Amino acid sequence: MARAFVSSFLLPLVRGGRLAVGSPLGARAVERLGRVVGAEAAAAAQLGDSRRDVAARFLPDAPAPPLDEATLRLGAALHDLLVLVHPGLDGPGAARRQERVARAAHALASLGAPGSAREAVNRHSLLARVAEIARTDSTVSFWLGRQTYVGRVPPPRVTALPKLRRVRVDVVKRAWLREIGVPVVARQAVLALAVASPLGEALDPLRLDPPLCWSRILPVLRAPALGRLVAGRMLEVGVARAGDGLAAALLRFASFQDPPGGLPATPAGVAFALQFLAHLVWLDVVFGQDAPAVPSAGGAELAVMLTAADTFAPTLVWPRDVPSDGDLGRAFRARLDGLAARARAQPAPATEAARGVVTFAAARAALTEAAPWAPIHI
Amino acid sequence: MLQRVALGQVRFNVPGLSVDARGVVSGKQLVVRFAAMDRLVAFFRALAAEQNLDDLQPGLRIVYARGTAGAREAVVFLPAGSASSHFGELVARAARLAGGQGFTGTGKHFVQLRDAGAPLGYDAVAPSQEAGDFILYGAEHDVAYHVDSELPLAKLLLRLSLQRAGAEAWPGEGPVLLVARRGLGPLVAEYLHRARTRAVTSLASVVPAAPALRASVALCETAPGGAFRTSRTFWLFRVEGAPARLRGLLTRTPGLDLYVPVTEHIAVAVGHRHPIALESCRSSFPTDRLTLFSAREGVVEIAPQPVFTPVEDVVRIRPPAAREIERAPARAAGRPELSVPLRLEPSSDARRPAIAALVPWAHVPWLRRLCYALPLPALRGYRLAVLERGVLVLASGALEGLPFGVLLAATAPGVDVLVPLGTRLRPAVSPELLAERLGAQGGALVVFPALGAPPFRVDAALVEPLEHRTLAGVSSPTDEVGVSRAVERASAGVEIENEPLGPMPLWGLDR
Repeated sequence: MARAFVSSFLLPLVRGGRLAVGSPLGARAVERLGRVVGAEAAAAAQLGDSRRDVAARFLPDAPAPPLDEATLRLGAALHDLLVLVHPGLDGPGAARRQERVARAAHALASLGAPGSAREAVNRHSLLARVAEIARTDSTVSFWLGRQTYVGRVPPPRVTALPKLRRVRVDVVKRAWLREIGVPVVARQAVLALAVASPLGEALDPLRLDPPLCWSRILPVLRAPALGRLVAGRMLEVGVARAGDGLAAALLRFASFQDPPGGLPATPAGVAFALQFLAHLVWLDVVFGQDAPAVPSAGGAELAVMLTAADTFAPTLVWPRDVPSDGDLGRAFRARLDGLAARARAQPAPATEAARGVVTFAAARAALTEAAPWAPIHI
Repeated sequence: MLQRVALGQVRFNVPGLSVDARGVVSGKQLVVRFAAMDRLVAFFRALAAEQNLDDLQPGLRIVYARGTAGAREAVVFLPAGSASSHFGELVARAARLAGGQGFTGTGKHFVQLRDAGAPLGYDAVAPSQEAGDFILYGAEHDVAYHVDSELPLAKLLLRLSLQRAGAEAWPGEGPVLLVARRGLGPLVAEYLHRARTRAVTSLASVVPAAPALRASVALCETAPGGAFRTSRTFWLFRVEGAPARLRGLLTRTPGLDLYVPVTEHIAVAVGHRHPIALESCRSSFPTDRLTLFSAREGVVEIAPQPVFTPVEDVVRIRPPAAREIERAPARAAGRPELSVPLRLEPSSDARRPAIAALVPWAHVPWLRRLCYALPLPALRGYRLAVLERGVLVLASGALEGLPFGVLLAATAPGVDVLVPLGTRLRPAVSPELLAERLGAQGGALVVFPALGAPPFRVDAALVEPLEHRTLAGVSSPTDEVGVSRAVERASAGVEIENEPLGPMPLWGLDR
């Protein structure tokens, strides 16, 4: 009998509810699911409606995302990652079993970066609530011993006659990603999932693990509609805090330390990243309310990077259509001067590293000097 | 290749390095590598003596890794802890002592820890581009390692053999655990019971402060070790305050093995010690089982944690020897009286739980202190009657968490006639009739306080909830003006529901 994957897993993943985690799914199983998904037409329709609600936050006119192969593969990959912490996999040979499941999850999640903004939003509409996934573990103590139910509700027979059997139930709820975690063997699968759906990562610049990678978020930021949304999110977080994370990630990106799977580091990509950082500061200058010339806490990495860009490749920081002697230009110059003072307080190796990044990006900037300048969409 | 870090230098070629307040280079992790397993064990012995290994969890990892030269080495990953590098020095000292080499870093790049040649530590000349799970930058060369396998600390602890601790055969103060073969269990239980009874009767008047022998027992079963190794059943005793005359018997009798508890869930054979201080590795052992480190049989795991029963409730109660009935000549007499007085007599029926306790006034201060420790269900579920002879504490179910006073049980479920635990009323008339004749109706209770003592009745009006009595002296707080606000209804959370995986969960996964 085919598994009701849409109604028991995908739908609660988007709408909230209990995610049924059963036997792991491989590529063939996903093919079979694709053939029998018509049997769950009602659940598929509800899933489409719910995903459209999520997608509309990013693209207001987006239609309901289709229940296509990418959806099933991403859902199955996430399902397999959840299987890795299923107690049913425990026992002798658990490490080998985990490796097999992780391999299957990696194969399913290896979709590559999304090709368009709509595709990125469609994928994100499925995985937007991954960080909220939690597991409830119940330990039932009774007069003869105790029994732990991991991610399961204790059956009524175990909690029957509570007074006579001195039944006590201790319930612990833990977040999957932050508290339970994913076993090491599935690291590649997690990264592949992040590559396939990078919008969540772009909206969370302060994340710790997996660390922010420009190679993954570049496809999202290059789409103007999504780039604006992400920039807005960065302003909410604070330009100094978000900018520090982005600048540190840029250093890793330009030094080819990002894990494989995303876009490779090219001068054009690094130049775009520097322009995006400058774009954030422009937004802060234009729309920030009573913003100090230099942020009091954080912002050192951002200051070093932008000061180097302003010194060695100013075209990456200054749009051509904004005169430097106008009100806006002077305000931005004052902010850059403040950042430069901040950067001077940083040690020399930091400045050197930033100069290396800017020099790498300047190769692209030099090429575009003669060409029509591609504006950043604000 | 490494270069020395200069004073004031805060940016490094190796990603993830930073400096502490003293200017010493440190990363978020420490790595120690060893060429052999015995050195790894020596490292943990030295480290556990100074540092609680539980504090290093969950970042502590032990892996077998293969370097580019092909050598397989044991590598330990430790969290560097706070921003200070003091812990790094402790680790470096233990590593040097054990013949290992320490590194610090973050993620996959680690540089050698500071030494006399570089007081502030090292940085690499350039980050290595070699492929590998992690890279160690040494003074001579940089080595990229691929992780072969991982060894959990708990598994390492369980694999190590015990060491002889010296000639001391008795652990001194504190409880001990005694494992007895299945056939010996009842005999040992009776022996301990007799020893306890004798000690109580003889010592109580002479040496009031002498520690009383207390023993409890559980029947345990090990998990089967495979098709050819079935599960083994044995008795486990917990003995406290054993007098000196018992020690020779408990330590030298074949079939009896003595263990000293190291923690609540770990015990080690007497006269031996584990190479690594187990007190500092509490979190490596599951709390739902008892782990015994035996000198001969390796590790014995008892899951779930055994529940001990006092030996008094386990030993067989032998009836008194039958007396010869004296023959008496039949004589003519009038019709005899058939009614007999109600009598309380000892009983071995351990099935009835204690549901009440009569706490004498001398122990009521203890009860008051205990109120702070009682959990919410106990405070809510217990009732109280304040009497002339003491305080009667009543539980709605089984009475727990009250280690003093006379424990009382109901003569039958639902009947409000209470007798001391381990006694029963004779003749065994129907409980309902008994309650009716004694007047234990309408919420009133009848209590038999002790053998030979007359019963007394407690009126229902005297009984009140314990939590009401506890808070009798609390003055009502002043009213505070509250601000009401609408609380948005959060959407349903996303929660995992694990379904059974079946016997072969990975069937067809790779096809």
